[in-house]
Amino acid sequence: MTADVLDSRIPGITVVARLRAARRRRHALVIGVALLGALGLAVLALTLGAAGLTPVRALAAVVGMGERGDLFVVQHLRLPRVLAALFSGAGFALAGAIFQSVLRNPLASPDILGVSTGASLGAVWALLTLGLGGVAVAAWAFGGALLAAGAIWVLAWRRGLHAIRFVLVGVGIAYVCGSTLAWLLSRAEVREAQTALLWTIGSVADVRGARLTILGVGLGVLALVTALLSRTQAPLALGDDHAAALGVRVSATRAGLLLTAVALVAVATAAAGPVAFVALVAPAIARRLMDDGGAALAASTAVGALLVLSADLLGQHLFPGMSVPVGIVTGLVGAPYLLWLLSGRSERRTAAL
Amino acid sequence: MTASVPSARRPASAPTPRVRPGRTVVPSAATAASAVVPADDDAPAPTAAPSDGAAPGDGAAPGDTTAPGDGVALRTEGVRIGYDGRTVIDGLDLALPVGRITAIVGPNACGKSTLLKGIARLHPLSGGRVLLGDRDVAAMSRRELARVLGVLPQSSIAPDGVRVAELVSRGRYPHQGWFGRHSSTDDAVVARALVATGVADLATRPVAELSGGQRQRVWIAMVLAQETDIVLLDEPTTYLDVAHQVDLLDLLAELNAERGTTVVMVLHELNLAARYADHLVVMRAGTVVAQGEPGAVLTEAIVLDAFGLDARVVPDPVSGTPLVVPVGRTRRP
Amino acid sequence: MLTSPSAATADAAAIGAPAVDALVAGRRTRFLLVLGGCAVLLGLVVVASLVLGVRTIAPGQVWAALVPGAAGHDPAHADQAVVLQLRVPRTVLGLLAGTALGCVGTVIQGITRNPIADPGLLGITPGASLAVVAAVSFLGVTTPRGFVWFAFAGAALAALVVFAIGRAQPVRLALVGAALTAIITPLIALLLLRDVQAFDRYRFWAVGSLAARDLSIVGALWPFLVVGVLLTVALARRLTLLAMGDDVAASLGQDLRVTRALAAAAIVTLAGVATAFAGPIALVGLVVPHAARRLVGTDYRLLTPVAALLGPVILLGADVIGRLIVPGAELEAGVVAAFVGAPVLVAVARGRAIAST
Repeated sequence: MTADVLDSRIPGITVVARLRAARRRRHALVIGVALLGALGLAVLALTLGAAGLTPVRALAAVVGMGERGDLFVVQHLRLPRVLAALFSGAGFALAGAIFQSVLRNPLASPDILGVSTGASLGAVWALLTLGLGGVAVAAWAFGGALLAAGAIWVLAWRRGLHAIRFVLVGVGIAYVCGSTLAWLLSRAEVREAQTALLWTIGSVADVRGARLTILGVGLGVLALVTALLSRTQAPLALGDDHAAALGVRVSATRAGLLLTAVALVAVATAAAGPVAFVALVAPAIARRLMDDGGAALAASTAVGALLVLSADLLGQHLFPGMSVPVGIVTGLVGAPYLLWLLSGRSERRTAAL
Repeated sequence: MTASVPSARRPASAPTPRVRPGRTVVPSAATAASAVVPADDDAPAPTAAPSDGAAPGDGAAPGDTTAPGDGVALRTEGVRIGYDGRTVIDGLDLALPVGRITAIVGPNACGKSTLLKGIARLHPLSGGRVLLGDRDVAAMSRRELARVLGVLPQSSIAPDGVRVAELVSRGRYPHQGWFGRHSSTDDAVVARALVATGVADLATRPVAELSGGQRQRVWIAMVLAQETDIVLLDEPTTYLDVAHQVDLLDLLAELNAERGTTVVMVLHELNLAARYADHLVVMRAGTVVAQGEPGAVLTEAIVLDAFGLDARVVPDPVSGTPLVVPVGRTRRP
Repeated sequence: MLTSPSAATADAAAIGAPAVDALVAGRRTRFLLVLGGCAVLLGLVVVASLVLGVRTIAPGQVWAALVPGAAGHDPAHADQAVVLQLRVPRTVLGLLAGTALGCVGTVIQGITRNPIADPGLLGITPGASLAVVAAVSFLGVTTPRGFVWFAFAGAALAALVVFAIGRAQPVRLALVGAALTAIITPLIALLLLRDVQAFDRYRFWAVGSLAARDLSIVGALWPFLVVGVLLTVALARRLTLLAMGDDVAASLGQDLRVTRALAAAAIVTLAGVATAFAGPIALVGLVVPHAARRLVGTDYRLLTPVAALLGPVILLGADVIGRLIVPGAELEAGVVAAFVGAPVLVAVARGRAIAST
């Protein structure tokens, strides 16, 4: 441990440093492009719509300058929707990236493992049985997600939290919640049930005010927590034994990361409903783009935000006169991608299974 | 960590055994201060117990192969390890010599891997303790332990797309701060590890593209990058062809010779173990049947007792160490 | 220590033969006992299904209703009407769907060597559901009899996709199935949002209920059930060998393609029939083979009949529980079954020696 100075006489050291610099550059590029894309689409989203606005007017309205009509359209209608799309996309994607990295499984995703289903159950229960609305529904969704995750945890914990067990139990919980959900939908009056069904699809159309703020703040806090924990991801990916040998407290770290991910899903679902597939697909795309064996947490977040915003824009404007909720677009677009992803993988890539 | 110890290796004649088979090693000297953490800013000062044997230092004992009572790197006291209520190892006392290559051999399911995992704190102990110097391993933080003890477990996952240099640099984890920033020191260590294992020219390749032998070297480089005084390896030669097995073991021998790293490995191949180990531990059914210099330990009687194998033991024509030749059932004319 | 071959043979003859005989005899006795027990249990559940409910109907009335020649037989009598028009169809559907589910679960678990395989978990039943929804909303099909064929087609397509991508690996299959369900759910929702009537019709079916069905479906579909059960029986020996691995089974002379084709046919048929009879019911197909395995071991020739009996026991049992658990109302069999199946899944996941990576 004597070299404080970059000793270029040590063979190979430049290679190591250069490789790392290249990684950093690529990272910055991917995130930069994604964020720029998101920004561009955001501006586009602010201009499109029944009340057509030029980009200048739209941006002016964002900061509070311009006519009353513009201000209303932008600040009350479009901007919240754009922000909700970005935040929820980021939240789902980050949660998915954490799940997939911690569980060492590219197919693991909180919406498959029952967390989103739990959230839906909570929300539908609030809507149909308790007759609540607005923020209360969101709160119940949040609680539902946490309860489902808690159930998986408790049931999968056996002298440590093992990835495969978590996945299996998660799938079971998803089915229990789904079954209960179907039952609730069959019991209610049909129009109410249809409204509840709409909630379970996922939409960013009406997220504003308190819900939006909570979403934003929650995302910020949890993203920070993730950043602090993120350096354990690299050793964890090498296997439990390697991680422990490198000094990681495996079960505790895994628990902490998963808890953060669950909280992210809970917050995002409470605001926007369970938007299908973002948690599964965005990290997969990010990892492909980075292609360096890392979890690509930051890249996933950026890609997720971009994805949901694009999906919402598509849903709003692709079919004139019809506004398709974002959850359906991500489902319909995510499906072929997912199947391609799964079928294209070689045996070795799913070695963790 | 730079003490170079050109120890005399491979005496041609059978050396006098330091330890009688069946006895645990309890050197007359007190525990050597081999639990030395590399001089880091934030590392605690090593608790060096005074000893009259090995001198506390960089963790490399002088390469004196004949002096009795060498320092002990790691010691188990009454260790009990089990799985799901089934006890595999019950009350084992074992001392692993510092600065030496120790090989642990034994038949299937004798508990050698379990023991290694228990020592490395990868598997919880049901009883007893593992001592590093005179510190209980369980009392150390994992990070601290990771700076002294490097482990190459059997199961390794190379994440998709990770490059060699990147994987090796993950070995620096215990030395890095909260944000995982890589310093130039880290880079230097990684580079040295790459060179030492001969994979420097593969540094930018994805690990997944490498052959089995190359990949194993990369994992060893990662453990090297951890810069520990002690390295434990759990069957590092499985799945390697014989040329690569020898290659790998030569590498470990060089590591031991040049840096004085204590190497403890679980091996399946008796003859390679006999050839490369300074200290051989033979296990059976969770207990140590014999330990000491391979020449003394690997006798026909012990091979029969531990492995249930009828064999002749002859001197290896190349290295002089014991060569176990099984008798088998088919007789040839 | 291993002995020489000749010595070994002599030893085996001396010790082995009577031991093996005793083993086989013991197993056979045990099997017959278990089979008898299951049959009795089934009888009890059937009786319970006819007698118990929101209203408990006296066995005497039940008997009178069922047997035309009995004294007091009067189809117009309130209780007897309930028996004939509600309870009997319900019980019959439960029997048939239960048998189908028990068999399909056994086949799926056998062919994938996977302890958590179940048509609901693997996305096959949701596939059937999607087809049904499509039929209801696009083609205006209104009766179960009509959309039963769509249930088949949906089950087949879904099975194809899942097994092609999942490649018969345990956790992968579960995830592919769950992913498939995650794809299908928004699609179903999309279709249902457009059409209130379709939603209204679909949502009752989606819960998985044995009630309010007319037995005409039975008339249309019983041949398929029979075919499915026969296929399962035919697969029994093959699956037992397959449990030891593809390579071992092939080296013992089994043509794996035939096995897979038969299994595919059985799975599609049985899953389609079960969904058609009772809607999408998850987890029964999972639980039954496990329970059967606990009782009679891993030989599929013994497993299959026991599973065929236990399936209706569990499904009808769930239905009966559903009638009783909520005072004055009913909980559908599908919901109860999910709550029964989930603990079993959890127990399986916890019980396995799962590698720590």
